[in-house]
Amino acid sequence: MIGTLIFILTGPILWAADLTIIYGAQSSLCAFGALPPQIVGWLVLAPCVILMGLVLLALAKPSPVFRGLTGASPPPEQWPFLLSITRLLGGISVLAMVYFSIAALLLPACGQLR
Amino acid sequence: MNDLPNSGPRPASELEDLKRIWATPGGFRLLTAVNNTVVGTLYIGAAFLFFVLAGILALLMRTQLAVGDNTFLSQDLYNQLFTTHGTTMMFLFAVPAVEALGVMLLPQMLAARDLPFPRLSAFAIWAYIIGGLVFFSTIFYDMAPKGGWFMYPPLTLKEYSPGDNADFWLLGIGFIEISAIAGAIEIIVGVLRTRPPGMTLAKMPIFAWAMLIFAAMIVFAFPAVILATMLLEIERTFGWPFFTAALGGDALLWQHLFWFFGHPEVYIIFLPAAGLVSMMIPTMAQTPLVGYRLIVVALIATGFFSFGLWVHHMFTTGIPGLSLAFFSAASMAVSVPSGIQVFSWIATMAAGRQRFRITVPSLFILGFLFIFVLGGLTGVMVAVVPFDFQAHDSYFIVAHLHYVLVGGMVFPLFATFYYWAPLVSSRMLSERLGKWTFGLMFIGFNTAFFPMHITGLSGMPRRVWTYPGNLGWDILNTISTVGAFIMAAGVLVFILDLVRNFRFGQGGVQNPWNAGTLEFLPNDVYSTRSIPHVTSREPVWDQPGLAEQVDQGLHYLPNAPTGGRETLITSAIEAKPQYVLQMPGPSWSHLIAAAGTAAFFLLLTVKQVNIAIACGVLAIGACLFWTWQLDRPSQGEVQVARNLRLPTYITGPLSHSWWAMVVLMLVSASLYLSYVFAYLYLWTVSPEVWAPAGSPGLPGIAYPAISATLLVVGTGLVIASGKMLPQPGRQSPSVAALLALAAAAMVAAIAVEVWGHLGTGLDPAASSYGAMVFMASVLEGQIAFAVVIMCLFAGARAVTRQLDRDRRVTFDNAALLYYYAAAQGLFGLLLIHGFPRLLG
Ligand code: HEM
Repeated sequence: MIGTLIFILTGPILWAADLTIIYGAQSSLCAFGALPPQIVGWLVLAPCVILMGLVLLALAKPSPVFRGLTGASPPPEQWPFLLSITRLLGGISVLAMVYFSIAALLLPACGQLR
Repeated sequence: MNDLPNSGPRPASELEDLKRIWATPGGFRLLTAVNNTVVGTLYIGAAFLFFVLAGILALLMRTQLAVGDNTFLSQDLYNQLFTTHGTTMMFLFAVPAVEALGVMLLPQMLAARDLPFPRLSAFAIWAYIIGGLVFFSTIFYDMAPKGGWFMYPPLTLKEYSPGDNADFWLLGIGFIEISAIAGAIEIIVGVLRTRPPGMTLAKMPIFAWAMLIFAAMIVFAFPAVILATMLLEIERTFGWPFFTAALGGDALLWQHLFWFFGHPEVYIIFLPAAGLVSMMIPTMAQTPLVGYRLIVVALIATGFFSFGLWVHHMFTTGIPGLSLAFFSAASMAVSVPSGIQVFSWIATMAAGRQRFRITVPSLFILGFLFIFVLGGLTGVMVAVVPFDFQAHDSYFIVAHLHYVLVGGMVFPLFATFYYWAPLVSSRMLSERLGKWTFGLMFIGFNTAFFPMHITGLSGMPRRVWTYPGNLGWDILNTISTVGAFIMAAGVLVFILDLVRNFRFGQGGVQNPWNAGTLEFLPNDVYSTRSIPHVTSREPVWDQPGLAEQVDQGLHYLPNAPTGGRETLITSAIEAKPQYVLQMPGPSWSHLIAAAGTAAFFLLLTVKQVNIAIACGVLAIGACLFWTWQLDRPSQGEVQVARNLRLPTYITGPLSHSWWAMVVLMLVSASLYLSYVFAYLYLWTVSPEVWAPAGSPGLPGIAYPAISATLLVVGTGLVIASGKMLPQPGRQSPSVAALLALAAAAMVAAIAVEVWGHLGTGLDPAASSYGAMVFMASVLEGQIAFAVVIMCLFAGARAVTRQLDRDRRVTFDNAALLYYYAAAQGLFGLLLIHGFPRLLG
């Protein structure tokens, strides 16, 4: 049951991971000035690209992901519903991650911008 | 007819039994009722009362603002008014109202006899009513908080807000959130486990989806603000400087924690309302919802994305540009799922077999669409960072927030009142008066709030008690005030309609709108006579004769085989029948517990510590009495359908109580994660106060080692006692002794940890670091308190022969919470003793 829920939520969970990583990394790295801003910029973009890739992979090959999470084969009756919900949520999450990436591409990593 | 779960005609005694068992207690004892229709109606009534009361405050404010340089209200009273209005509307009206609809409608929509923990809902409702009324009454004694509904420090610290006013907010609202969480646990387990056979996830009514997501959001969002209120109250009372910059605290920490709750909160309010709209539109169009799956996706996506928006309330606090951009991006993204829903609704209206029927509910829905879309559009505007810099804290925001809240929640709620009134009233509300209500509210609302966009853009700040009469804001404000009174007239007509037509009781018109979902099946105090087997999303439309079959008892559980209140528990995804849940009936215990809890928190506010503790003890005593009566012994297997016998007692991951414990653990884990965030956040802000350089060094490694060992040993003791549970009917003092030892080990672990830090001279009031270190033990102590009570409770049952190998739910619950508390404790030790060592 829990596995099935996580399966449905693959896209949004990876989206949340993306936001946590990029926001956490960017704000703490900028606060401490530990790295040059260009590097911070790339460090922010990288997780977006990797996590989007992961979502797309999961959407392309859903059955192994389902099996990995639940330890069972997809239930034939429920599968079409579960699959379409998972795919739509994945799609919308990738869109939201594209938005993050655009921000990371366009703006300087540590500037106050005002 | 033969393929129905049961055959007829059923013996007449079955119906008599059901009526007797589920009867609503009369007279004074009505207060002890737990039936969802009774407590649900009470809940909605209370929420509506708070809407009216907070609305009256709004009218007072609008009267003051009608013209410039007005002296009708003083500045101080105005501050109390907007704080109490905002707080009441958000915490005492909007969230409780939708939760109430969940309690009232879900069992009916799922054809369950009741939600799985009826006394828990009743407890939550009473705690909310008592606590809410006391909170609201502070406005009459000049004791109301003045810091705005989001109570930002430093304004709300003791120095700038002396007196008890702010404490009423912190303790009063903090505890009402606990009641919301109790309701959320009920709703999650209810939606996932009390659906009728055949109602798979794919066939679940959209409202049930919306409530599931609503409740899950409460579980993850509310703990953040509970932590925030704890921190602020502790700072106000004991001076631990979480928010005081001079000692390493940070006022922005409050904003992060508050909005991590506060933004999801607005979707917590909106999603159920959207769910209701998705139920009413198909009925009015007499056609299934277009894009069911898309709507489910939209609800889930909105729920998730809403947790990534909180910083958009903090655009002007000096956070770096790129961080703001992430949250601006997420704010744009969240409008996509809301857009999907709006298009689905419009498509459903267009796809109808007949013209979309214009009834009072439809009018309110059309009004909702208009107002909510406008609010959504201004939402996208303020999600644009540079625009927000201009509009922040102006009347543009007041306009935006009322467009989304009133449009997104109040209008659907009024639609709901008219649409679902027949479930609890023997008369329908009047279409004629309803149209007047709608017209006045719609025109009044737009007249009041549309001009505020312009007042805001021309510079009028929010939260001002008056303004100079020569700035050109007068006429717009006068129009707003007139609008507010027109809207109030609409609400008044609705109240008139209620007085004339609302008559609590069953026996009204059957399915007046020809809806397709289960709540309009013939109903009585026991819900439906039998629990239907469902094969489609609109069973009443697609399964001809369903209403008669259900009423003749030809589906599941047409009787009361255990002789008490009970309902059917099904599996979470496929809704396969699993067992019969025996449920508790009316009682005084939860009522006393609710009054005791409310009194405990409110008396703490006014520093009546001794009486408060006495009330707390009373509340705990009542809870123990209440839970002692639960966990009834198995009645063996019972017949629920011709070919189906089900057990009446289940333990482990299949049982509903296991699920509730898991949800409770999720709540505790989110609270703790918020704490971990706060710890790390304050470190990034003020590394200079952190040990080892800025504060007394950590105690020797022996202290955390002993603490950790005690936690591990305690866990071992709990596991061992689980293996030693006696045979049924036997007493087991050794199990009781082991559980008591385990509880003692946990208390000792916390004591050693606190002792170690005291030994180094660390002072919680000296710096934010010290405050954070001791806060970890406060949080662990809080959960240990519950663990100790549950272990002793299980021990007491082992001694009184009510805990054994089969009947072991009380033990399982205590053990689960013990494992969780031990894990949290170990993690805390790692953080507190590991992180500063890592820094060197
Ligand atoms: C019935 C019609 C209503 C009217 C006439 C009204 C009027 C007002 C007014 C005059 C203010 C104070 C503005 C200021 O001084 O900054 C305000 C603030 C607010 N209102 Fe309403 N309101 C109404 C309904 C609602 C509803 C239904 C909700 C929520 C569900 C709500 C939530 C709020 C909140 C959160 C604030 C902000 C309080 C603060 O600044 O701390 N209002 N409203």
